Amino acid sequence: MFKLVSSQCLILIFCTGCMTTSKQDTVILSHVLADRISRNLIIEEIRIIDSGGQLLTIQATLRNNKTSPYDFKYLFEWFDDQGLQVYAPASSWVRRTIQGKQILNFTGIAPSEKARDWRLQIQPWDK
Amino acid sequence: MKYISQHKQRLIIFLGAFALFVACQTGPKRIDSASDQGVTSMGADYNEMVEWAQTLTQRMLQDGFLDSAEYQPHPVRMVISDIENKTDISQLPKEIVLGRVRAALRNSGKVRYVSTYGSDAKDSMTRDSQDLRNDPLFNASQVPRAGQASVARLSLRTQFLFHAARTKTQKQNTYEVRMFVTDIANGEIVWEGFSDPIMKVSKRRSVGF
Repeated sequence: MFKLVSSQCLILIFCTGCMTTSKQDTVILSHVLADRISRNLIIEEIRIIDSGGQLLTIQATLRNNKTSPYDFKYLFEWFDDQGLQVYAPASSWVRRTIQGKQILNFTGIAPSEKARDWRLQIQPWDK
Repeated sequence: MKYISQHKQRLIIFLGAFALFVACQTGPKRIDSASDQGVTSMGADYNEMVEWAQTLTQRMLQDGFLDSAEYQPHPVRMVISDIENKTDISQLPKEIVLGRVRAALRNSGKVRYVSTYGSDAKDSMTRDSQDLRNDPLFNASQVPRAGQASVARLSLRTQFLFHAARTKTQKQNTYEVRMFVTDIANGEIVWEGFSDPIMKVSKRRSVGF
């Protein structure tokens, strides 16, 4: 269902869910589609908060290894337990600039409790 | 005479070239709203307003105040309070932001909105239906009984803010949205947040003599 992210992404996972560590990297990698972004933009961490009663929350941490700023945009998409996309009324591509050598966090919160799966797309922002 | 003739000739060529240029201009085309091809103005553009809605909704949900025991069981009732436009855009389409924030919060299952009063997305049909009780055209038993309409527990107040700065050569416009939620039971603000600011810079036209 999900495309694989490029190998340049280093992902460390801190997960409050119940997935095992060995499988986590593969699972998380398959949720991030970022093959068009600069090699110098590193996804350093994906943090998943999936505790009972709370909306599924994903936080991504990006690091810019270059000294120059980089413009990018990201989009979180949400899926129910059958893989169908969940409607998110306020969902949109969010445009950001990461400064040189900066570490930047951004968060996605599931639109409803129906959302049990997610996908994060990151693309360059052509200003 | 020869000079005038040459002058006319150049004018005709210029006008012809201009007409050709205008004729070759492409007409309107539909673009993907998610793409980066949209017009970037010095004001707040559509995509930016949708971004505001997303970030504000997320900040409100992430804060966790809606999950506190006071507002259980979900959904808690909310009403849209005043919306202030303090920007330089007189016809700011506030509904682009407010509508999405409202829809997203309702969709989360934590909030339900009251449409009988407030400043946005009001629906007069609840009140108007009461007037049908004595209208012989209608079945009076189907008119909702008095005292059934809900009173909101929370109120959402919105301000669209603007700051302008300029130098001799550049000008900068900054827009952001401030929202706060008041608990109507006691008048206390239970959440307050800002969108990320949208900053636009452009070169000012130089005055030539």
